[in-house]
Amino acid sequence: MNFFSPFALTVYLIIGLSLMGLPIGLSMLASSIMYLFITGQDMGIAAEQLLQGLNNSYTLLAIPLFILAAEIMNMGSLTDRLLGFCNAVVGRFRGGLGHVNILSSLIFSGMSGSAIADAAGVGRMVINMMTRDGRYTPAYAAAVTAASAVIGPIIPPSIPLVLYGLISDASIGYLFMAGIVPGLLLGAVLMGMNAYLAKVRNFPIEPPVPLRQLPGITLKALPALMMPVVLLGGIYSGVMTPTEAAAVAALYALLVSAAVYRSVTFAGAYNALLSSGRSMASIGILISGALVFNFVVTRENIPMTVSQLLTAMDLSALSFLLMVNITLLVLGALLEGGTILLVIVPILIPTAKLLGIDMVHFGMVVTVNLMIGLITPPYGLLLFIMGNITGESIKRIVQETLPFITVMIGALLFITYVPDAVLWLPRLLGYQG
Amino acid sequence: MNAPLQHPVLQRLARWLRLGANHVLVLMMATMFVSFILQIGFRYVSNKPLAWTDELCVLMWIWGILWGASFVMRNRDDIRFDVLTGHVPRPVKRVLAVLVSTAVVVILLVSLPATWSFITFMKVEDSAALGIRMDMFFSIYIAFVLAMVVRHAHIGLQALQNRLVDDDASTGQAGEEA
Repeated sequence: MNFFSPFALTVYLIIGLSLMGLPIGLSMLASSIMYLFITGQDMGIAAEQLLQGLNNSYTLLAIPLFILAAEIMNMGSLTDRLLGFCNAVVGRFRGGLGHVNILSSLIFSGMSGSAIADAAGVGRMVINMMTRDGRYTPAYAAAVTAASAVIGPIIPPSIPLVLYGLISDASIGYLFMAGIVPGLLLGAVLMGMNAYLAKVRNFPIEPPVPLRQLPGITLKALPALMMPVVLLGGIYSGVMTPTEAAAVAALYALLVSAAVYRSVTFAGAYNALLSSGRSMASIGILISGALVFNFVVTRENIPMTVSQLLTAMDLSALSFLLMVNITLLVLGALLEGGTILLVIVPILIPTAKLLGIDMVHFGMVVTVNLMIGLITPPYGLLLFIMGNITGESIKRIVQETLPFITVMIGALLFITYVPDAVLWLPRLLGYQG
Repeated sequence: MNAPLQHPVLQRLARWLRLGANHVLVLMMATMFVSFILQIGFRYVSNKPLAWTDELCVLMWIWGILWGASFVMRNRDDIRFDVLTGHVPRPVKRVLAVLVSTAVVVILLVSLPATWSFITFMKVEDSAALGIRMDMFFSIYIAFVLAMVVRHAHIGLQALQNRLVDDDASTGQAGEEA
C-alpha cells in the first residue's frame, strides 16, 4: 500500500478538513475534486457524479418525507397522547417513567425513522416528566432517553436502512421487516436494565393510572397508535413502495393532527416543512459528498482490494462479522453514522457477499452497530444532544449510559451470531435468503 | 456567519433575503409532498399513473438539498466533527478557519470551469416527463458552488479579523426566531 498515492492523499485531506471543522459532506466533495485534479481527470466528473447520483436515487426521497412525518407529529399533540398511553400502561412499575421513556421510543420509532428526531421530540418531553420534582437525576433521564432513541432507526421506518438499501441493493421492504425483532429485543434489554437499576437504587413508584381509565386513554391515542400499522401494512401488502409509504405517513400524521386532535396551525405546518427541509439539506450534502467520494473509491478499486486482503486472511464469516462489529463500534464512537454507512460499509459489502453473509442480515448488524455508536463516548451524537437538552455534563451522562450500552452490545452480539432471529420475520413474508 | 451589518437598510435586506430563501425551501418541500400524494392517489385510486410527479419530486429533492445548503442552512446546522476544534485556543481556531476556507475556495474555484462545462453540456438532454432542459435541471449546482465559495471566503476573511463563525451562533438563533 502506498501512503503517498493520490488516493491516500485524498483520504488525508478528508480527515484533515473535517478535523479542522469543515462539514463532512463538503470535505469529501472538496477532497474528491482534488483527487480528480492530481490524477489529471476531468473535474466536471464531481458535478456529474453528484447530480446524476442524486437524480437516480429515487428511494432516498423517503428520507425527507419520514423527517416531515416526524416533524408533523412533534408539532401536533400526538406526542402528548402517546405519552399518556405509555404512562397508563407501564408507568405503574418501580422506575416507571424510565419504562415510559423506552416504550414511547419503541412506538415512536414506528413512525419517525430517525434517532435524532426521536430524542429531540418525544425524548425532551419525557425528560421533563422524569426530572420534574427531582424524582430522577437529569443524567439518568438523559441516559435512558439516549439509549432508547437508538431503537428508532432499527424498527421501521428507518433512514439508515433506506441508505443501506441504496448501497447494498437489498430490498428496503425486507430490511424494514428484519428490523422488528432486533428493535423489540433492544427495547426488552433496556427495560430489563431500567427495572434492575430501579430496584437497586430504589427509584420512585408513581401513583398508577386506574385501569378503568385505560380504555379511554387508549381510544384517545388510537389514531396515533395506528400509524405504524398503516405504514407497514401499506408496504407489506404491496400497495405502496417504502418511499410512497413515507409520504402517506406524513399525510396521515397531518390528517390525524388536523381532523382528530385539531392541533395544526399555519405556522406549525410552515415550521415543520422548513425544519424537514433543513434536515434534508444537511443529510443531502453528506450523501452528495459520499456519492463523489465513492466514485473515487470505485475508481481505485478499493472494495476489491479490501476483499482480496480479507480473503487472503482466510476469515470465516463469523470472525469477519466480529471484526465488523468491533471496527464499526470504534468508528461509530468517532464518526457520524451516515458517513460510515455511505463510505465505509460499501467497502465491506463485497467481502460480506463473498463470505455468503445474507445482505439483509448484514444490514441489520451494521445498523444496530452504528446506532449504538450514537451513544458511545466520546463522540456519540446523541450524548451531545442530551447534554444540550438537559444542561447536564457529558461525563455524568456517559456514566449513566454505560450500563445500557453494555446490555445493548450483548443484544448486538446476539443479532450478529443468530441470523435466524433477524431473518425469521422477512422469511415468513417470502424473503428468499 | 454574517458580518455585523451596520446600516439598517442592509440589515433589513439581509433579513428579507433570508426569509425569502426559507419561503422557497418550504415551497419546495410542500411541492414534493403534494406531488407524492398526487402520484399515489392517481396510481391506486384512479388507476392512471402520472408521469410528471416522479420527476418533479426528484427535481425538488436536488434543488431542495442544494438550495437549502446554499441559502438556508447556517454553518452550525451541518454535520461536522467539532470535538477537536471545540477545544483549541482561539488563535489556533483562527488559523484553522483560514486554512480550511482557503482550501475550499481554491479547490471549488479551480473546478468551476470544468463544472460549468459539464452543466452546459447537459443542455443536449431534456428530462423525460417534464421536458426540462437538463442544464436548467442541474443549474442549481453552480449556485451551490458559488454560494460555498462566497461563504467560505467570508469565513476566512472574518477569521483574519478575529471574528469566528461560532461567535454569533447564539445571535443567529435569535434572528431566526424573530
